[in-house]
Amino acid sequence: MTETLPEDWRDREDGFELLLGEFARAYAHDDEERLAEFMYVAGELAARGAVPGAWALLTVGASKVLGVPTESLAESFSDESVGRERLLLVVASSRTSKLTTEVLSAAASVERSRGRIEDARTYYEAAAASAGDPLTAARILQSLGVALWEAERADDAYAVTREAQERFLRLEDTRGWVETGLNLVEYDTADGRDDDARSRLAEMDSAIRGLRDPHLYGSYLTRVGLLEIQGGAAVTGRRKLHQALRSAERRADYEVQIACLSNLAAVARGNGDMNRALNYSERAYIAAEESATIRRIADTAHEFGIDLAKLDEFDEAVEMLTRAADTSRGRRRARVRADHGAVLTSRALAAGERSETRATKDIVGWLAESETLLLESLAELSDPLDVDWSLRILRNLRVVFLADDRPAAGTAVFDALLENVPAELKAECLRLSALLRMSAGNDAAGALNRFRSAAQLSGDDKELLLLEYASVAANSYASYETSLALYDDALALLPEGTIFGNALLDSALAAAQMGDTDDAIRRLQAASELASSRQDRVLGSLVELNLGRLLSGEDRFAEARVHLKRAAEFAEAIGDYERASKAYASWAVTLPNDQAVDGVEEAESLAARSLALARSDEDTARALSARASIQFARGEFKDASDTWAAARKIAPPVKQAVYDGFILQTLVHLEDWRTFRRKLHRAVGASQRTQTQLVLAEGLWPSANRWLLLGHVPRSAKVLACSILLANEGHRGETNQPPTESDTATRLSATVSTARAVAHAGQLLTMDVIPEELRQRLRPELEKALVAYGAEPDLSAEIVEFLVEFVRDVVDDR
Amino acid sequence: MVGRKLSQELRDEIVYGRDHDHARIFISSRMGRTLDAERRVAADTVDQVAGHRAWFWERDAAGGTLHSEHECVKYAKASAGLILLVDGELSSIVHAEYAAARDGGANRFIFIRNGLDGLPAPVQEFIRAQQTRDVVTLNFQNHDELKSHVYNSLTRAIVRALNLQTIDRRERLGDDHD
Repeated sequence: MTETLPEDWRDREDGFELLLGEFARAYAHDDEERLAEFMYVAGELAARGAVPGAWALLTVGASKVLGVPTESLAESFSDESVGRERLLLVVASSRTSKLTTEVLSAAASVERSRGRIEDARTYYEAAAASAGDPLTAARILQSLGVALWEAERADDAYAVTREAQERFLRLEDTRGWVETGLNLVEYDTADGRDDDARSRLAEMDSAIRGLRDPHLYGSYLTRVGLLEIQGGAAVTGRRKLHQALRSAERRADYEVQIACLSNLAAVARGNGDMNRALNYSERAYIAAEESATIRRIADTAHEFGIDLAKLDEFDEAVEMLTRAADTSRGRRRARVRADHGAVLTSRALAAGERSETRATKDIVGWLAESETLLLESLAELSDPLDVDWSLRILRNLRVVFLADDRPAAGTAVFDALLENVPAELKAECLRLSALLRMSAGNDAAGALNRFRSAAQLSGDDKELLLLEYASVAANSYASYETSLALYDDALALLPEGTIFGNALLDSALAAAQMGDTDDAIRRLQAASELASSRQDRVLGSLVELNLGRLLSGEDRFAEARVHLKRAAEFAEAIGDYERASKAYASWAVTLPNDQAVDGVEEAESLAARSLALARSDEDTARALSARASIQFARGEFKDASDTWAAARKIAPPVKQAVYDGFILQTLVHLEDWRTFRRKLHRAVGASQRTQTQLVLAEGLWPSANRWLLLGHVPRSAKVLACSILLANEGHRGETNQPPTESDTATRLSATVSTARAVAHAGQLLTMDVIPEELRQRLRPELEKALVAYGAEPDLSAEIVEFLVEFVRDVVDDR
Repeated sequence: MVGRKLSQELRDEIVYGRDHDHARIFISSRMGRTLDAERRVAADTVDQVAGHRAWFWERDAAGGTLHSEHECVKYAKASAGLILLVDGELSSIVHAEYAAARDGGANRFIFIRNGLDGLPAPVQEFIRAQQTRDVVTLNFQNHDELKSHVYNSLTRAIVRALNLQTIDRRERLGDDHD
């Protein structure tokens, strides 16, 4: 660079001292040529984060260009305004000299490193205009192109770089032409114009080889490799990246090293190999630190931080994201902070899994910090609005409130945001506010209104969004009333086609869950007609299956069989053997349950067909259960018990609890109390292990009834007490978690099941069909049984009194 | 205490700004044959299921209708799901797309016009080999049935990914009493 400044000044402890000494000498000798050579150091200092030092050099340079006295260096360090004023005068002066060009180029670099792209552009353009030779002007344009790309001004970057490349072509400067060409390849690749990128690379292949420049060839190889990987030629593409990487490592070429390692990390992520991705992104970050370039450090620390978070290495991830935030500016920094917020929430959730209590100081603190970071980054990305990132931030904000178990507080925050966010974010704010209201469980009407408004704002897709919200309300929150209202909104807008038919089916299931069987049947019948008129056996099979099952539940067996037969036929025709097996099993079970027909033989044949079509253990278990039901109806209790036991062996836990209930029923019919007691004990243990207490609680009612009708009051009381306590345990078991989507649904289902268990027990104590004498004896026996299972005597009496009152209230309400 | 299941559910929702907002469903079949209309029907239906976006060559590839194995395989591999429509022979590109989707962990749905029986033996063999719990294999005879398959299959896939409840509830009525 200069005659007296050693090449390795950057690596020496006294490097800055040497630099400033040399600079002062050049200034004292009024040596413009040498001062100009120092200007690019300003850009380098800014890239390393030493902005005040960079600014001081610029002030001196600008003063020299203008021929005015230099402010003291100390003042230049502390106050940018003088330097800025002088730089603007330089811009306005339209001078053409090497020093002018270098001062303006350096000023552009400093502003670029600070994320001030408009200021940088002003200086770059003035620098290009001040350049005495066209090659320098082309190079300055080339830098402006890169600066615009970094500032996410893709169109401007492309246009400026293209112009620079044309200038290089006219000037026959191969190096410049190749460098700008490689930049254009990068822009093409990032924007998905892979074919353009490929043809551009092919065009410059021989020129690059002719230059014999290892850095340029490394950049070229990196881009070729990446395109090959994206095109499906993973092996040869990776080989090229590794080849470029090895060469760059030998030459300490950090730029190419980082490009290769970042691309290899991205490829590993795409393949789901997170450990490998982490290895590459860590190496990219180390290379960036060695390069001491702020921009590279920021980008690689960000990627490395995210990879660490994905592998649950939260402490290190936070450290890296802090480093990334400290080294980035503007919108990049806002994105890093948004990710930092998301990682803190993940960290809190992971810590909560390991902790006995959620509310540790750390967890509360992380969630609070996360909320702040997300809200701040949302504001920072609002002008100009970054829609994608803002939507993600909003979604993550909802997760913070769920993790913190403060859904109601979340609704207030989202309602406040709604007042301020740009129009593009309003629909998502409304949706998230509705979801939080559902989680809070205290404002179903507010949730419904917000879902409707969110759909309304979306314009063309309104009816499809209403369908989505209806499905979420039903399946994730068990909020069937809200769901049904949303389905009806969607149905009013949908044309009478396939989606309409499927929506009608789903709305029927919501109605059924609300207990409105008549409405559910009406909706299913309409869907059935639609499926039939459109010859849609796919929809038909689902509709007919549900219709058949609903009618069976209403003891309308003959009608049910018509629909289940159709369901089985349709399902078989479309190759859905799972559904066909289900339909045959349901059809089979209608026969022994129907007093009006003697169809046991037909039922056996249907159960056999169900078994033949079964493709999974669950299907097989269901078919076996149908066979057991027939055996039970024939009075073959021992066989039925064995068949249900066989089904139980292969069934999922929920069904095991159901089959345990059936097996116990057979034992009551066999009046085998000893085996019953043993199996009851085992079934209770199994339900506790698999958290299916509520299912078993319901499955025990027929046994309690039967023992009572057989006159075995203490046995009935024992079974009933067991059912009540299991229901209570199952209900409590689900309430330790804060509410979110499926959890809320589970909790509501648990409440309903518990209420049903209580109602059933109450009915046994009050129903007229149970002889008065048995009912009178049941009450004290039930109290005794509850005490035997661990309830306090006073509490046990209170429970029994509550059961009677509960049923009386229900009857009165009707 | 934050339950493990709940926590995992919430953690899965945190996106770090990286993931796509829509699940891409790749539409695959032998092109330029009898299923061109069905490809569009399937794609339109995918687009109508919230959170999903179809990718099919005629509309989404930059290069027009000329089929590129590299391009298709690339998108198939990075898709959340693949719908394969079958009505006769399968080309090597279709096999490559299917294998890429399988390797990429995509949900796979094979919809066969008019059933398996009329298909050439190697195609039947290929489809039979795919008939596992992880792959949906069903027949259709008209556009409505195809639409219903796509709608139901994606609903099922969403549920598998998010909360494993919807389709179970759709078919659950009275199940406990079977």
